[in-house]
Amino acid sequence: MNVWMIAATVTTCCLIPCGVVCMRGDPEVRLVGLEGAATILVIVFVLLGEGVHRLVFLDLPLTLALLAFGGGLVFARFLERWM
Amino acid sequence: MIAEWAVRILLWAGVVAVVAGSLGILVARTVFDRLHYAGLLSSLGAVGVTAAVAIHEGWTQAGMKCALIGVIILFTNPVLTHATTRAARVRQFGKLMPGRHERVRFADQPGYVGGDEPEDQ
Repeated sequence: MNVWMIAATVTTCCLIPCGVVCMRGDPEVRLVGLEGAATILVIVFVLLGEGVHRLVFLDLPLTLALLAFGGGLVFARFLERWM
Repeated sequence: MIAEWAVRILLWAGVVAVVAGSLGILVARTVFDRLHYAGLLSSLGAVGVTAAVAIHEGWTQAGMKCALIGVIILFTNPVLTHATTRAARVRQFGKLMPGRHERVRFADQPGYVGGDEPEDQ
């Protein structure tokens, strides 16, 4: 296990607080937890790709970073207008 | 040698920022406080880690991809934070901006009676 995998393990554990926030509270609070979890997942995928030396895996966090932005905007506009 | 130390410092600074940001999202009280910690997570955390990987890989395709991921997160996250803050404010107060006859009084000004939002006059 190299330093990238250790960092990926520590960062993966940070998904737990965001998951707890996603499961309780008001909808806008849950949205903040979802956005935080998406950012953490991007970091985890980058670290895993570097840790296993399969750099083709970096396409996944690149796509996720773009789609998380669009998804977060859609959720925010939905909360603002229709809920 | 300097690049190795830069990679280590950026990597662990990013990991510490991610840990602090995720715990802050959990323990903060209001949605606006939580958004502050989400900003820490996505600015110093994500950019630190992606910069560490980009420096480690150098001018290769993987390094350029990591730099691109960091730039995307750095520029899209403030927009997302603003949209979330706007939605939260509209949901909590019913409107985004103060009314035309509404004066916002701060806590150190005379006439402030407390509360989150001044009443309509």
